[in-house]
Amino acid sequence: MNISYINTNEKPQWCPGCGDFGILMAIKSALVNLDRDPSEVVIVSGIGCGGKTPHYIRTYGYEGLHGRLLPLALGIKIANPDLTVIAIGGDGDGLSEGGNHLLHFSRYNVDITYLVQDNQVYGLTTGQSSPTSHKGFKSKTYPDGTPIEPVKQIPLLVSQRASFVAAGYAGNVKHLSQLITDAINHKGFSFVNIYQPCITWNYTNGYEWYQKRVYITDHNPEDYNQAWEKANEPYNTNWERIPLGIIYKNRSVTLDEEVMNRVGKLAGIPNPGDISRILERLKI
Amino acid sequence: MDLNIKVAALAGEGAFSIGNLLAKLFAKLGYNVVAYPEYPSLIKGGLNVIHVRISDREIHSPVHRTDILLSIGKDGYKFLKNSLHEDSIVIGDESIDDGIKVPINSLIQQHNLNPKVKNILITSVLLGILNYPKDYVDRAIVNMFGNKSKEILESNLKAVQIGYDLSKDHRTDLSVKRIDMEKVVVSGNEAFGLGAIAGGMKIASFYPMTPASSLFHFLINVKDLAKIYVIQAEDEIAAANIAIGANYAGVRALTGTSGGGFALMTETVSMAGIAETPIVFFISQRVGPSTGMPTWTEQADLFQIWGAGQGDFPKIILAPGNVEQAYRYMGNAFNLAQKYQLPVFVLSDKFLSESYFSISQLPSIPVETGKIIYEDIPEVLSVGQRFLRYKLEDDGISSMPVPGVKNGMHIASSYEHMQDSFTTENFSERKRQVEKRARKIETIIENENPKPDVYTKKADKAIVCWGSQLLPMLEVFREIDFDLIHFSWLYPINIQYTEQILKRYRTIGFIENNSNMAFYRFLRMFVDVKADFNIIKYTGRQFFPHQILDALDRLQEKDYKGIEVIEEDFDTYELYTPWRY
Ligand SMILES: Cc1ncc(C[n+]2csc(CCOP(=O)(O)OP(=O)(O)O)c2C)c(N)n1
Ligand code: SF4
Ligand SMILES: [Mg+2]
Repeated sequence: MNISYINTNEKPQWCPGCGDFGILMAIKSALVNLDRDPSEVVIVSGIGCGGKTPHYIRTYGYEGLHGRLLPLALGIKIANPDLTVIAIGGDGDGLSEGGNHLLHFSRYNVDITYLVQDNQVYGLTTGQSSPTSHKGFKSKTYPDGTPIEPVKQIPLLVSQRASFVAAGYAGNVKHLSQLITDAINHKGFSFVNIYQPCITWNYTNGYEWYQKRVYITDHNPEDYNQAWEKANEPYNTNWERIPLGIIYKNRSVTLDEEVMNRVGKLAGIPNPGDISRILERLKI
Repeated sequence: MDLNIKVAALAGEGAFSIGNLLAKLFAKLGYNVVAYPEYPSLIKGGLNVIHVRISDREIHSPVHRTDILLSIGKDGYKFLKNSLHEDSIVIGDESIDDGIKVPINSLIQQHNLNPKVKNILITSVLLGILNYPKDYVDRAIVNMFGNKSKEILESNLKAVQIGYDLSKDHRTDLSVKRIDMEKVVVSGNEAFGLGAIAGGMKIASFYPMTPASSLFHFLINVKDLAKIYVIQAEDEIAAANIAIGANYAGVRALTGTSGGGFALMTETVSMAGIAETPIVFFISQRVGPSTGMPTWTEQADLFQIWGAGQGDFPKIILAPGNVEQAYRYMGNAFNLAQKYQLPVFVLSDKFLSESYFSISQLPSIPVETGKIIYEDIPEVLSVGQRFLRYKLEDDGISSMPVPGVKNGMHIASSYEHMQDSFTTENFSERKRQVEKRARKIETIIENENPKPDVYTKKADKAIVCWGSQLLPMLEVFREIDFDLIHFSWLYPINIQYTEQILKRYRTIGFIENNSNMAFYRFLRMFVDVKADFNIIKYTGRQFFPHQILDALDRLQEKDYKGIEVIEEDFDTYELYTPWRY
């Protein structure tokens, strides 16, 4: 698709230098490479700085509720599996408010791509600790340093054997864009954790900090043990080494395939259902 | 004939399957049937009672009187004792004090039967006494147990034979025969489910909660016939969002729960309000607050539904009063949701949801999709431009293309937005969108002409009820000199028309199955009406017709003024919670 098809008149309102610009660029270039009309793509978001992304890409979109983007995306995808469905939201959105949904999405294995803008802070609500804030991180919530451990979402998703688990970085748009393309093309629930510098509220984990630590991994993501090792590397090395790339993947039947196999195509103008055979069955 | 059979047994001993069987057997002969189960929130132990009422004239509600009691164990006898009369027939196992004692245990041993046939044995004695055609019973047994082991099926068929043989010693002048075409028996929740299917619903998402669950269990049972998909979500928030997602994609989807689960859905209600995504919520009320008494009935959640969701946006609230309305309103709810692009609430309660009724036929439901666009739009959007999803229209309803439709790209947004769906904090844009959404209310009233049903005797007194209390009130209506006004369409209200109706009466009373007089207070927010009397009941059970008649007698002495609170005739506490004793 041509980039002009998905450009919008509105300009993004993020802080200059925010990692979300890189993520937006990466999504757009992944979409350009995708052989689809913009009307066949739906971008679902939650609430947060990053949640505004659908406004800057002219596909269909649903800017839903804080933390609830995943079930919303699932409903869209099982209703019409022909659509490409991408969900995008912050670390607070997906790992705190929406944590229960994430836990269950490896089970549903619905074929959507979920991008987490992981800036280790609450951006839009002005700088509270987030579920991924590193221990010791000074924030509005914890001026003396965050005293509790972060959520370890990549190992969590690998342990749940989610269909596709990847790590990207907003500072490497080319790599991220390829990762998003791979995630979209992968059949199954694809989780991409994107390290995203927030230049306004997170002075600790900025571009310079990441630049020294990230590297592109070349392990075999279909080997669970190697995947587990890579997923845990940031925690095992106290964030000295942060692997980027596909951490883990497998292929199994997706929920939308299951729905399609059982009931066929649902999308399109609704038809009244026939209840006569059901009424027969209720008799004895 | 108007025969009230009560089947009583401890949980797990099959009272409900017998009640259901009896209801279906009599409907097969063309009788009108009502059946209502009462049970504690326990899987094993505790008393289960099902009220099965059979009549050759129209009936609407269970009644207190017991003509025939089938009792396994003596708790049922204890519980229902004061509803028995001189001519009542009691059939039970060895443990009952009076009545026809069936020596169940020795029969089971003697004939080498499966111990689970107890309930069928006792029931067959009754069916024999009533001269019910045995071949229908055999066929029903094959239907019920045909897919179980051969041993179970044969045990049950043998039990039927033994029961019929035993009945020969107990002749009465009661006898049943075919009186009409076969009727179908459906529960309230099955009727809601049938309505949803007929109305083109394709996806249902839920998280289990009594008394809403059985609607979804029914949908699951018939999913292959209906070609629908039912998904059990991780919680109610997910269930609501899944349904919203599907509706956004143009596929009719239902979500449902009871009050506790609905509390979790309210943020999503508000999102549907501003994003103008069609959605149908089914809410079956039970006894609250909080976990309350999960398996009992009440109508106390109206303000929860009315107030659900922050901010100001239009919604539609429906509370059907019987199975026929349950079917019709649920089917049409999907039309309303799409035509007006807003949340539609279909309210029930445990009484309506779990009661069974015989029906003759159900009408088909025409599908109307309003301004939802399913076909590609020929006008190409210019570069950077979005479809005017929230265009200001006189009727308040803008066109809504579903994803996949070419040139319809827009955002459904939980933020306030401009006509092209981009987020705005422009005050006049905001004001115009609020007004656009609000205009839907007038459009709905104009198009749908919502009004209460008036059952009239040309009386100068009227009783107002809503939702499921239509059922006992229709029984009472025959015997009183009142008009009956029933609201099944609760909101939006045609204020002028409703006031016109209510002004006709010199005396007006409200009857509600709650303590907060929710509907009376609700109506007064819109309509100039003052109740002369209120009849309320909040024990956890619905009204029995005789209780309403007694209350009206007491009120008559007070010039029909004041509040009558209905007590239960018998405190069931020790029977429903046996471990305390
Ligand atoms: C139910 C609910 N609770 C709280 C909020 C307020 N809120 C908006 S964004 C946000 C957190 C944002 O953090 P994150 O998800 O990490 O996104 P970021 O802004 O960092 O991109 C919160 C708490 C809300 N909108 N809805
Ligand atoms: S606050 Fe942080 S995340 Fe939000 S726009 Fe600014 S830099 Fe980006
Ligand atoms: Mg964040």
